Amino acid sequence: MSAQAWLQIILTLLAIFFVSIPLGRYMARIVMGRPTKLDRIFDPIDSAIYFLIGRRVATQAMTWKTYTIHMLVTNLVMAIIIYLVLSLQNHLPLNQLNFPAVDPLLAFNTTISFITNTNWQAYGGESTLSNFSQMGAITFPMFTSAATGFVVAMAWIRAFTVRNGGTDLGNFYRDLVRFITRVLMPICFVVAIFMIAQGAVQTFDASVVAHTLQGGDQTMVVGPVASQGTIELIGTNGGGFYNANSAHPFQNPTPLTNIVLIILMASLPASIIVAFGEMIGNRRQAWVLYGVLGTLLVLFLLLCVVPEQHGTPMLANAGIDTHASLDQPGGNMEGKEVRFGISGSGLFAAITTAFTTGAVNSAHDSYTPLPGITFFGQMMLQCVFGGKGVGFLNALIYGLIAVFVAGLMVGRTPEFLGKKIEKQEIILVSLALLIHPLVILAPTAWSVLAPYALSSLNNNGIHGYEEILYAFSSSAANNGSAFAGLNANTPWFTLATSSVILIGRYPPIIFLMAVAGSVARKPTATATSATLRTDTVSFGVFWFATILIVGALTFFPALVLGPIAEFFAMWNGQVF
Amino acid sequence: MIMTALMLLVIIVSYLLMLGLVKFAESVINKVLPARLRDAVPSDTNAAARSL
Repeated sequence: MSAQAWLQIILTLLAIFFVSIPLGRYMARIVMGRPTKLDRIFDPIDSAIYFLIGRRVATQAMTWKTYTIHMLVTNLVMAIIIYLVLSLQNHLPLNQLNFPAVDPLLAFNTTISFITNTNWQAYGGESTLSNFSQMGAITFPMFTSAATGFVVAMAWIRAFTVRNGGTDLGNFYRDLVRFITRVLMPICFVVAIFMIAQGAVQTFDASVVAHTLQGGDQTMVVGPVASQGTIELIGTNGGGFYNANSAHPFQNPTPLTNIVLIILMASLPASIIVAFGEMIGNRRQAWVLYGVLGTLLVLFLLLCVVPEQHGTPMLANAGIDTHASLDQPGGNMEGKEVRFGISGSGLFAAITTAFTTGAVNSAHDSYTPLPGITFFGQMMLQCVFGGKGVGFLNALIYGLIAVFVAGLMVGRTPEFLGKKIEKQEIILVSLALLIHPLVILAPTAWSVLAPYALSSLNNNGIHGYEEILYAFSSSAANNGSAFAGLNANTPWFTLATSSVILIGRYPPIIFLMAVAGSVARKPTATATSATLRTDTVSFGVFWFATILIVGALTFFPALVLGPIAEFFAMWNGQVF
Repeated sequence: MIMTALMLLVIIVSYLLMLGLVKFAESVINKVLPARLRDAVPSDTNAAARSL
């Protein structure tokens, strides 16, 4: 890789790191209700919203159960609204291109996908949805689903800060409103203006006609692209206005916007780790976790960009120069934007699967086999920072397992942040952990045997298997990116991915909230010299090893049949 | 139209099932954790570890 490419990657990672620190501290202040300089602007807005939803509901203290039920019911109400908007879009305004109502199965899949922050798209945005649907059924849940993941994580952290056996985990509505109005909205507003200045489209019009140099006319679909494309990345959502997503020049117009979007995509999930340290009053603990996840991210990133820069043996045998130079990016450029090159595409792809965003600026289907391990691995672990809030919770699942195993190994009471971790927490944590492989591997196994599933494939053999595995990994991880090559708009894949998305999202959250409720009511033990400290480098190494070992034991066979087998096939002269 | 209504029903039932899971998770906490453990204040974590 060229020095310029390395510089781009290093500077981007450093920018993510340095943005996450002040942002995380700001978010912690918001969650803890501490004053900020922006209160004068946002307090009246929040008060108006509390008035609308009922001040008593918006201020009551909630136990884990109340918090979770309110979260589920709110999500249900929003899901119904989204579904109705999609199903009735032919009767709603801003449908200048006269799109028909979305097919019920597709509307169901899209509703489930967007309310859960997954943004799996079995449709082409510009050829299926009106501008009203793009705003009312797509952009709207991008804010609320991102905020839902975040507030659940914050409630969970509160459980460890509750002293003397309390049960108050905060108020769901207050957390949700404050995160949207004080974090997501302001950032999105500023970034959307920047995106428009760079050339992203933002209009209520539905299309423009361009007169081409050949003398013909070309109709191009436009709409509120910048506003959607901004929350799409910042909220780790990933659902693009266009089918080409962030590869489309109307949505991601310049290499500069590409870098800014990568930084923003990663900043909020990384900030949650910083906020975690502030809330528990132990920054050292947060840096240990940050170090563990950062190390994983760098390793997976290298596994993505380095092999991609080397290209394939077939390119070399054909006499094609794959070296990077001033004239060309080199490597395997199939499925990539020339504007972004190997580093801009590989970095985006690694970040979008690590932070489970799902936006794409290149075709993941066209990468060489080893980057496939990065895509699959990060979605399967779902904790390499991960999506907003949920990724953080998954990292803590592995942390609790590491605490339990390490505590028993050295004969100390398993404790995390002063709270005893006992049988019932481990049962729930294990359930939350096991759901993820179950909803990936079981439907994948079924699909590779079912003719109605195989008929959706554009590739046979190893790569076809990967297309199916990717679909369910992406759905289960609330990622939403597609490997391409798979027609997901069939009854089987629509229903199967919807089920996987639902089961991959809510049961783990419910079980983890129950864990939060369980630990909240426990008294906080005072740390002694006999306490197993979790804020040390040695525990960080153990945490890192736990993630890799548990993850590898669970998913390695699936990876062997996929990208690893494809890697060896490539060296034997077979590419897909 | 029937299909549209049916899928709406599926959405509602799915969330009701999730609410059922809340009850399940609650039962795991309450059944497995006896009151004496739940309310105990471990003043000596070494003693607690030895008791395991």
